[in-house]
Amino acid sequence: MSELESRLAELPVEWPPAPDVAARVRARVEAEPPQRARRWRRSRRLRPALAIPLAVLAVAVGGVAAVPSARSAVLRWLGIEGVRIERVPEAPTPAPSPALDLGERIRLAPETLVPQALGPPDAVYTAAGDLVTLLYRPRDGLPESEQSGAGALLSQFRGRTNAQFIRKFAGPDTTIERVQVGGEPGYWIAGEPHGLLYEDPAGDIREAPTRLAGPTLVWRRGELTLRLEADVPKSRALAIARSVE
Amino acid sequence: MVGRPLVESELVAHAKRGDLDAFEQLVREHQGIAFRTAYVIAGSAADAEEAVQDAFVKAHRALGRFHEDAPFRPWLLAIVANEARNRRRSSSRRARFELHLAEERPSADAAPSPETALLAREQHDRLVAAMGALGEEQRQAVACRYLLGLSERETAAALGCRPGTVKSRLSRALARLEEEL
Repeated sequence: MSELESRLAELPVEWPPAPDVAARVRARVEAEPPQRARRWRRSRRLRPALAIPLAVLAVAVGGVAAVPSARSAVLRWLGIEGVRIERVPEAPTPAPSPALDLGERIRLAPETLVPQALGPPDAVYTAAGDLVTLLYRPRDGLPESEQSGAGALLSQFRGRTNAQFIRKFAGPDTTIERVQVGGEPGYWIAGEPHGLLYEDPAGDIREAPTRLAGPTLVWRRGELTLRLEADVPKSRALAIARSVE
Repeated sequence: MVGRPLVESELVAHAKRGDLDAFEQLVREHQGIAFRTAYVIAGSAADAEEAVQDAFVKAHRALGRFHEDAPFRPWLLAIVANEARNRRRSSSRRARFELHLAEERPSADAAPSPETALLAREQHDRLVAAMGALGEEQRQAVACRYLLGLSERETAAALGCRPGTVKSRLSRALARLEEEL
């Protein structure tokens, strides 16, 4: 510390007295509805706004894959917590408006994981409760994705047991390969672009409609599920995933 | 009773599993620094008090996403500071936090002469006056890092920027203070 820094640190500042909020905070926390109920209520509120995207989705993807109740063949599904990957007989058709909607722009929070191989993101978004997405613009080694227009997207959210959150629809020309990232399971989905949508635990679609996604790596890390979408070879995607901290 | 007090990571782990006593203890341990950080950012004690209350409630909701082995304070301060910033934005006053100095009482064993005490007081006042010449961003950075004694990482969390930005803001602020003095 320089002399000036020490002098600042030694200033006898008299701060306004800190109020004791412990009891009030506790009373408010006790009055909160349990987590599950609150999430459900929120999704109910969102439902009217989502009616249109859902309709668009049904038209766009038709009998191929889309709505959760569709009887179309789910040839097999596999997944990790919070992600469901379904095999469908035909590649999904893109939604008419493939605009990328990542939610609300926020500042990077200290608890958010960042891939050190890519450095700080160009923008950070949050949506659907705790889904956080880091956006990287295209640059050397991160070509612009035809599907998203971004160089790379890294999403993270807390995986929920007994519920799918991300649903992926993979056509016959999409390859799905099991991989390991830091000893935890993951999937590398490449080849033909695949369909992607978000859904809440009650089965309501609560994010923007399905869009097509390019090569994607999904994996688990502790309580989090991560999803990296970037038009890069598998080895590079794995290296980026392993650098996340 | 010989139970040792729980260390912070244990408190957090208990609180995550729904133990409200553990959470209340975390609130008690951190509410002082949380309030002062909120005060620096919001600029008013009333706003800071509301921000801190709301922030703890939000932190409790978000606890499930918090990794137990990560340090708790920077995470909490980021939430607190966010609430404080929102309040500052929505209030029309745009208050700047005020710095008051405590009356210094000479300690018994090394009572300085009245002249020395006066000199120290003058230097302190000059330093506070110099801080008034800083822009709000730099002033907040100086207050968080030196007056509140937050780490660089915690300062970054409180100001909602990267540690690198904190470094450069601080070095510009220190240079400016040197000039003013």
